[in-house]
Amino acid sequence: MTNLGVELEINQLEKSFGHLEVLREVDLRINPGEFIAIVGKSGCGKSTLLRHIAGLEKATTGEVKQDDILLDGLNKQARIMFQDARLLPWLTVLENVGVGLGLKKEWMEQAKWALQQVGLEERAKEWPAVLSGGQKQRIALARALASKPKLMLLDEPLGALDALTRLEMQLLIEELWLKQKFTTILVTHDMSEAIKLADRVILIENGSVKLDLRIDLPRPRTRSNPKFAKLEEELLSSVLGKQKLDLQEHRMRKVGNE
Amino acid sequence: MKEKTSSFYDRIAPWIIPVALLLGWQLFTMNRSISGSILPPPLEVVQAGAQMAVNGDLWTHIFISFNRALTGFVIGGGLGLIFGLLNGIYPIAEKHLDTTVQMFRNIPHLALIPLIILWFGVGEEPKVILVAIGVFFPIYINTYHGIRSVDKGLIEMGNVYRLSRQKLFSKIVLRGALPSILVGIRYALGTMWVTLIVAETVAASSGIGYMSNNAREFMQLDIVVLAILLYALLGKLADSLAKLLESRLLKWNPVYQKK
Repeated sequence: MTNLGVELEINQLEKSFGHLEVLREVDLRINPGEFIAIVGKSGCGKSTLLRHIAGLEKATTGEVKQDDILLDGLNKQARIMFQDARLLPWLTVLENVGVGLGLKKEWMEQAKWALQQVGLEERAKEWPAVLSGGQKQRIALARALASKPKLMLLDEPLGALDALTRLEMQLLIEELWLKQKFTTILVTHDMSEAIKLADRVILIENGSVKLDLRIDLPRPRTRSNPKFAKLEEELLSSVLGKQKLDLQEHRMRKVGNE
Repeated sequence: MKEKTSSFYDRIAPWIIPVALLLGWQLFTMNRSISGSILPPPLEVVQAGAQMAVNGDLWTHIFISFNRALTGFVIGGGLGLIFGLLNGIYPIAEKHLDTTVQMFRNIPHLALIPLIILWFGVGEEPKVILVAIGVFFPIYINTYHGIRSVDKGLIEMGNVYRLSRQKLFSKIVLRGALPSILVGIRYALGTMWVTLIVAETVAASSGIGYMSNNAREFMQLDIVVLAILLYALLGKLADSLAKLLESRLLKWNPVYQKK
């Protein structure tokens, strides 16, 4: 299969809202079909970076290039999954997936296909109100998939789900990505989710890239792999700063000795 | 079986109090606790109604009132909807129009009766115009408010998924504003009847209001009461229609889903 994903190049991207600098000198290269996870504390600018790639924000200075073309306005190749599913409550599940195709003529076949990909084809005629949170996110995923995008932007889509549903969704996203090879950027605050799914984990701190970590573990990745645990610890200590983690370990040991 | 009896009870439950009131009314007027010159017994009212129904007067008056109500509602409601949509969607329209509309809204429209009679006489126009003014504001305000309160996240989603402007309007903005618009319509239906009653009582030569006012001059109390009951029935009918519209158009909303 040919590579469907886009290539992204971000050069010296800066963004400020008034006096507040949200992004500073962000440089990033993303290869076609790569799975990138962006992590960081809340308010560090990771969602803002994603919104720039989607073309929803205008950069103060710097640029985003996609397949060597300067991005101006909404990114036509990108599909976003938001933290809340943002389904239209007055359309059926199938029509909601059809929104991903602009509800243009002959959308129905393609929407059915997308719904099959997430395993919810039997709910096609129902209203979103009767679905669980996880099912709603799966519909949102189907809506994003429907137009066979070259770039998938995931803005903490699993943040509000319970642990089990989240694991299911992670597997589903990985499976679909392996099949269709769209370039994927996932914003998350869950380190193990980032390590589990991404080829590279980017840590953003105070608006700039602090760490660019390549994850070379074989897929499917499990936490039982000792390398997984080591990477997670490394990542956590970078996020929190080294001392804090040591302090925590020290406390744990003390409890263990008693 | 048990379920069936309870569903039957559910159906008659809303009518228990109206029927009890009617029976009490009949009882008290029959044993002369209430004098017939203050309140005629319901059976007399029904008889008066039947008589007028047979000679056709009743239907003429109802038809004329209904016609005025509907014409005024369509004109006023249509304008309210158009201005509400316009001001809700285009900030430039809102900037120029909203203050003016809010200013006029605060004039009680019934205060315009003398002026409108002077301008238009006592023909059909003043009633239709008054009804139109009365229904304009509730529909305008609820349409405007409905559009402004559509979830911005859904609109952003529509943009990201590259819906055409027309689809963005019909599938997201209008559908999102619909619950609020329907509230406006139900409220406007109430205003519609009130306005019509007053207008027909003050200056008219036909319609239910005229029928009642005319009967007062000849001390035909049964017809006066009949007119009041007619308004109650027509009002209820209009409200039921609005409710039906709601449950049809908002069937996606769990609140309106029938069990």
